[in-house]
Amino acid sequence: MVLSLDSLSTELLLKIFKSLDIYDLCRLKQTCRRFNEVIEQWGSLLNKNVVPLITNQVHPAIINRSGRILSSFERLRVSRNWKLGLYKERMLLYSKIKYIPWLQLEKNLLWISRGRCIQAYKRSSKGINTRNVVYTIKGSKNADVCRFVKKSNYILSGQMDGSLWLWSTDDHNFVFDLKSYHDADINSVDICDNIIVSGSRDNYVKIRHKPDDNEAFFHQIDLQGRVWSVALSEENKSLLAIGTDGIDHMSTVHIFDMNRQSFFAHYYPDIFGDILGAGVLDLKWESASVLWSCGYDSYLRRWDLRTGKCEQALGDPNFATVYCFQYDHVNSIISGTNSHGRVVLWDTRQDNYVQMYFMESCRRPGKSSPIYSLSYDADFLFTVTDQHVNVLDFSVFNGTPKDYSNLFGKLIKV
Amino acid sequence: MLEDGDLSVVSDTKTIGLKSCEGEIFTVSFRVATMSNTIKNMIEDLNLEDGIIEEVPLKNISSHTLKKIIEYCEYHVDDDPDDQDWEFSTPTTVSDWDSKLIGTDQEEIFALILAANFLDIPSLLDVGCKTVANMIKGKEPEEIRKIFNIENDFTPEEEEEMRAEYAWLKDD
Repeated sequence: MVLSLDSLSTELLLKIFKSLDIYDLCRLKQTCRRFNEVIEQWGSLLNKNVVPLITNQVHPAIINRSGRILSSFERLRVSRNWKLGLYKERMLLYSKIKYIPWLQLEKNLLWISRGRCIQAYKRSSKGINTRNVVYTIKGSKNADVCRFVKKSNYILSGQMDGSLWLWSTDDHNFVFDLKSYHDADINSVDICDNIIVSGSRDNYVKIRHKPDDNEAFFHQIDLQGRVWSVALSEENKSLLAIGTDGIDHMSTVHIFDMNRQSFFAHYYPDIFGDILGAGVLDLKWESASVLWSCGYDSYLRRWDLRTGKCEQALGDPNFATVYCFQYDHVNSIISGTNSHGRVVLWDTRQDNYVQMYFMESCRRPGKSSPIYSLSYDADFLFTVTDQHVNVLDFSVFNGTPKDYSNLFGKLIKV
Repeated sequence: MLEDGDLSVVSDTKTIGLKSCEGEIFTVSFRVATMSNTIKNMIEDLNLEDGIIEEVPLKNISSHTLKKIIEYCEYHVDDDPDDQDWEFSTPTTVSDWDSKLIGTDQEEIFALILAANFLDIPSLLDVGCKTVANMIKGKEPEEIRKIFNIENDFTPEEEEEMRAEYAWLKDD
């Protein structure tokens, strides 16, 4: 028997390959089919020191918005691009009028609201063709969409004039359109099964059922301050998280138990100095007992309902307001900030940010804009600013990295 | 009665015979032999702690390889196992003594890796794998094929496609 490298079992090959870096692995892939397949399939197990960021396609919510499922090796390669700042940027849409848009990403569609209109564009492996509009929903005149959410076959949208509508993708029609539902802008909405929640600048959160379910069910909560964000927990259906402006009251994150119709807890950031006005702009549940928030205090915060405390705080390197964020339910968060079209990549296992990306369209003087909304899958980052919809493609093989990982120096934790 | 600490003295006096595929028998102390988890488990499972084991047949290991393995185990028998976290040790450093023992002959190295894997001697397996990894490091695909005598089974089109995809490697 002649012993050679390719006579070894896959298990032993992996033991050898694990001390090689990504460059050696790429070269090895080119030698023969077997090595190519072994590395493709087991690539992310090889480098124990490198846990991929962004490309962890584990949580169902992430898989549901992923355009493709990456091979093990591709996970390593694309994750490296996210960390280095190696990507290709493309502008998808431009409008002369400045809007406050919102977006939501799905496997096959990208939903974007601008003005009174919500549209869904078809995604393909190459990106997005903005001429291929699958759905167009037009609300009533002079009622711009503030915030919408797409879940199962429904779009729920809250408007600036206080109206709330529900639209079904099955019959392409409104299920209801409630005028003057709130007395002011509806800043946030959420839907989970049959529960519909809206939060408004009029200080109220309103909870109701879908019409075909229980018409009579209705509940409203006075938060004694503007409501900026609401989020229903998928895992514990009775919990509702509410983010308020924190101007008259210190607490900005409120957990409401819908079964008991009472508050479970009120949280406020444990920071020095004046914390009034540390309003919470976006909320997302990690699990039934862990909640992430962001807002005017420039921090991403992880709240644990079991300890009743803020267990982790990731401070924006430029102390900017954080408008929105997305979490991959493993270790990666991307946050959108209030100026220069700046987006920040976080690894939740460390306090310092990993990388920053600046939208090209915001670079010219006078063109600075907040990132109003963002979403990502393993390959693409989608962002909306006042005039642009942008996509950053991280699946590229070459280019010059835009590395801002040291722009502000590393933040010293006090 | 013996104290716990004296157990090693006892196992030093006991010996075990290891029989290579050529039929040659190598006699080693219990302590050296039990660096192999396979042998250690065998002794424990069969309750052979007190008996004398004359020969353990190792039909897939040659005398040449077995000699090297015993030399390795005798040299490293006093290493503190807590000192060596094999999973996290620096990727490709192999000590001078180890690399001299392992040598450069590919067939011998692979025989050693297979034997270390069979006998379950994690530190030796690790050293063997690192040696091979060091032979791959920094080499172009064509060089790797030459060194390890790997047949290129890609079509010219596939090869060209991969070359284009991985052109970025050179820029770094």
